[in-house]
Amino acid sequence: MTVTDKNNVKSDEIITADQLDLNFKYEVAEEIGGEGILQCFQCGTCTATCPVRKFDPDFNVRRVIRLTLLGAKEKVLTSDFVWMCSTCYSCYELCPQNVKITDVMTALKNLAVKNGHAHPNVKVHIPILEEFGHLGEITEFENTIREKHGLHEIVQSPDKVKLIFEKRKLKLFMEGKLKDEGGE
Amino acid sequence: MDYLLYTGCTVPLRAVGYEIAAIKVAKELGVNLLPMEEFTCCGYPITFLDNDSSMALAVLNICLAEEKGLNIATLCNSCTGNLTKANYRMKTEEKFRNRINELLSPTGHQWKGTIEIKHFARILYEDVGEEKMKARVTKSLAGSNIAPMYGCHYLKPSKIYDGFDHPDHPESMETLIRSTGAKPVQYVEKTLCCGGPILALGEEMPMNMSQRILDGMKREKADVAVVVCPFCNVMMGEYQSTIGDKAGTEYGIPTFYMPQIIGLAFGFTPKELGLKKKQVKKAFGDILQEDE
Repeated sequence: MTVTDKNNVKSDEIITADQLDLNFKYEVAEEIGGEGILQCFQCGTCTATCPVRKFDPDFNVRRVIRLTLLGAKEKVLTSDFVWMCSTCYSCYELCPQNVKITDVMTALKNLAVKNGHAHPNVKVHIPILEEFGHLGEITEFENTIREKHGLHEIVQSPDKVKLIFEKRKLKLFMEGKLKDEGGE
Repeated sequence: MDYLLYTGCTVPLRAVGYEIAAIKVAKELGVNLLPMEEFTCCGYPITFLDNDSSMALAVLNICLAEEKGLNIATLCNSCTGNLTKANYRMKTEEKFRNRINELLSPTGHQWKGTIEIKHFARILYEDVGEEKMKARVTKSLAGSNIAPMYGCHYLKPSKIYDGFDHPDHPESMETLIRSTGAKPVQYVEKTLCCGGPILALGEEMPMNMSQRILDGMKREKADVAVVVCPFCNVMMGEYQSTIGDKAGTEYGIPTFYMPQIIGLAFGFTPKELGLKKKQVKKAFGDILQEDE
């Protein structure tokens, strides 16, 4: 029976060279913090220290990096794995090649978004920030408690947050309609 | 010592007691945590979606503090991490600096590189120090075994935190716990990830990850857990009984924020620290005598 793991690789699948995008690793390296990917020599220290992997052996950081270096772009960017990195930085601290794996995982998530594969549960943060400038509304209820304890009132203003998002054309990013222009 | 207090999003919504206690304790030790209305989200929650926007939000807040001429004190590990990382990169990576300043241009702010960011627990550990804190204790917590839980972004990546504490074998929280008279509990899980950042993707994984930490605390007979991040508190505190149900055990380890246990040792009442009397009695009943 064929089994598909969380890296989107089928158990009996053979990946052929024509399926690979040899430029993918350079795309990752262009992202903020993604440059370290080119230094990986596949020792697996990241996988050994990953607290997520402890509870799901399918999640294998070393393998994601290998698939990325090989150029298996679609498999990596549509896999569940990239979203499960909790950014704990355990692997980042121990990597002997200074790959900065946590930042590479973030770069992969960002590329997944740009290619139209944003995780729906994570997407919701953008409209909330555009409305309140924070990840939630501070209402009269919170401010009354604050006043009782002598804390300052919080008046939320999303104006500057919105200006940054507009400049970045974040809406188009989220829809997978805009590739990174590098901001330069 | 004056700092602008950066509360972020989670503290005012889910952990206002942390903010209340931090301001009280700080004042007793000659540290002023000043309010700053203009601060927005630090950007951490959208790192996964677009790191450029995330870093730009962090730098926006750094700019706001720069314009006031004051360093930032943080309460949440994720805010600490995102702000510190952004500041570090602005200092060390020219390409990054240009990229982010460009994104900030419509707001009228530009990064100057004149301030630092420090977690409040780090300020207590580094700038105030154990001796000064011990001298202020009026109600020792001696007899209580308190487990420190560090969380991730308080310590890591270590290179952005000037090595103020060891990333794998830290002791700053133990030092603060010791200053209250309580005994810090040693357990190997103390620096593990609570899973909070991936809670939005499903509860099961973060609950497993947090169970591992709670099991460690229980094994080493902790009476109380102390955290320095509202996300750790969500997992250790708010989820504790659900995790216990799943694991078929009752952990019974009340969770507090670091400034709250320090405040109790300084003689503040539970109410003054944003705590309920019942909560404190359950955790320190035999140790703290009621005298109200």
